[in-house]
Amino acid sequence: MPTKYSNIEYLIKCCLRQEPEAQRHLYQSFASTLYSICLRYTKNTPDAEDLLQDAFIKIFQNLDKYNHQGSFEGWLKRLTVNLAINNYHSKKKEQVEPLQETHEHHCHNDILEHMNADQILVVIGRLPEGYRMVLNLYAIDGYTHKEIAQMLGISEGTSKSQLSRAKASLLSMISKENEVLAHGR
Amino acid sequence: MEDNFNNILSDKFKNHKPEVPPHLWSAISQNVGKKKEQNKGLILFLWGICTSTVLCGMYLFNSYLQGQQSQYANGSKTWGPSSPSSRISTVSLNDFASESDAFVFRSLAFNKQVSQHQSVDSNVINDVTHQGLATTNLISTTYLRHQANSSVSNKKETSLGIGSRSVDKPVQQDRGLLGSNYKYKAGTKATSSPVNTVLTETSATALLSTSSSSILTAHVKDTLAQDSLCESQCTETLAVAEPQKTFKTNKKQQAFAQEVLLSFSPCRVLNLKEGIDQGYTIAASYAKTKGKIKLKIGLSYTALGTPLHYQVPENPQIHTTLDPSKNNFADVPKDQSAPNRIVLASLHTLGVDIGIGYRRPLHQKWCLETGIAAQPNLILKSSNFNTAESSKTASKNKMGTNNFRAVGINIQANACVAYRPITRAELLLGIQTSYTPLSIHKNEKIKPLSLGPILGLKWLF
Repeated sequence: MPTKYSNIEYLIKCCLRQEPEAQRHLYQSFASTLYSICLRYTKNTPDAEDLLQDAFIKIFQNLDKYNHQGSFEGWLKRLTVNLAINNYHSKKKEQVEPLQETHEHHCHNDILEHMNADQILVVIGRLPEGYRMVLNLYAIDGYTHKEIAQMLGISEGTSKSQLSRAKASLLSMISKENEVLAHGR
Repeated sequence: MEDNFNNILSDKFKNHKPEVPPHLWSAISQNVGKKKEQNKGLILFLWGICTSTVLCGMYLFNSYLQGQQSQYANGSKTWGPSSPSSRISTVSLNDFASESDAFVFRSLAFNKQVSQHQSVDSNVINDVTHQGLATTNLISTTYLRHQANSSVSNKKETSLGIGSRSVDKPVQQDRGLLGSNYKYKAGTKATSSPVNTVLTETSATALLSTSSSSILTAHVKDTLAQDSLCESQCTETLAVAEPQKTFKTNKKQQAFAQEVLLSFSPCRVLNLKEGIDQGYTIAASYAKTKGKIKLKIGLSYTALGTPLHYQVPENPQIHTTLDPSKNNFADVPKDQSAPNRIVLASLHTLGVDIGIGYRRPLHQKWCLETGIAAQPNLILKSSNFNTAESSKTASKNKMGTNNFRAVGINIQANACVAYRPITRAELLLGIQTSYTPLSIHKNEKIKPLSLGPILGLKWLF
């Protein structure tokens, strides 16, 4: 049902005028999309909620900087991803990430295909921070290795190797879970 | 296989819309509101800090001034070197010649004493010149002198002398003479009329050139030839230029000329207290008046937050060198302990301004300077100058056919950010606005308003 905020331009204008109703509408329209991103880039739900909260605060603060070129949803997603990357950088300073050994488990993509997004999210959440970032950025959000290297402050080679290890880890973990489930039966 | 993996993953999350916890919105909405309030609060807080800082600064400064005044008034402090033998008049040429780092005796160019020691070693003068800017602190002297040199046809010479003396060092003596020199064509035949009757004009550009050995030597020689010059004459020598040559003074440009040409306030000898912030500023700025933009470059003296005092030379010998009929020291306060509470705050404008200002403490690398200043602006055509002696001079001078008379005052507001990369040097960047509420030119009121940036380099002593 079309509302008075169906027009995105008008919605943005109202939000810029600090109208609470419009702000709420914007939140309701895009919260779940952005929450999905937040869940992918963080390791657990509380972190994702924090990220979403920060993302929306930043969105409302920087709404005037949206230049109305390109999709608004794309702008929101990019902003959220950037925030996630910033968080990653700040966390990276605090803790040194342990190198994870990857065990080769033969796993086919078809197992992945049978999983739903929530199940995959659980596995992605278990990945080391760096792996998770590269995997999300490259495999799901479609950034190139060059862009990822710039965003994360790593070399392209590192990005590629991280992706490769991330995939291997992901499939390995999925495979392990499958095995456990199979033995249980 | 890799592409397949990526496609599967991206497809899975393409339409993934998890349920968002309901409590999140309330947290977000509260935070958005809070941030705005915080910003407002921050602005108010900063505004409060700035205001209170300025008020406190003014209060403290006022207290400082009052304290200083009372100290000098009750005689607990005196100006100048502690030893009477090191005062201006008792320093001989032998003294400064024996000091490898000595500066030319402050009153060298201005005292009769010099003429008694005409065998001034030019090497000494050169040494002095090279070290001139390295002079130390405490007491500075600024004077303006002018002379019409009959030996240089068609030329007039205006110079600014800056001297200083150290009272902290074991050898306490008056030191230093820096000469800034500017020559301009007067557009008429120069005369050898008595110095104190000749009108001089100084402009921003007049202060531009720095001292050099040749200039300084020339000063000394000229002074030796004309022994009637003394530092007190700057009160009588108004800063006047030949407008037709220095600035084209057609009607459109007169306002600007008024603004740029500077007259000197009667500050002959400035005693400055230890620990003050004083320095010379080479500043460049441009002014826009009536659509015209002009560049101004000049040197100014800054002594901010400092009570200035007239100093009375004690040795009667100095007095006797002057012609009493010229009343050279007429307006010098007789009581040395009576401080003059004028605060000189030349904030990178050109010339000397009288005003008040504020700056952050010296130990900071970044300083903020701001202030207001009043700049007397008096430009008189020599033939119109109103002394009896000058009428005679004027008839000789015939300085152009266009009479030019402008009297006014500029009020300037300055704000500068100063960065001090090293202890003594400051880079300045700021803005200044100048308004002339009163300026009369041939019964015509001109009120130019100018606004321009300040870009400068200050050397602290």
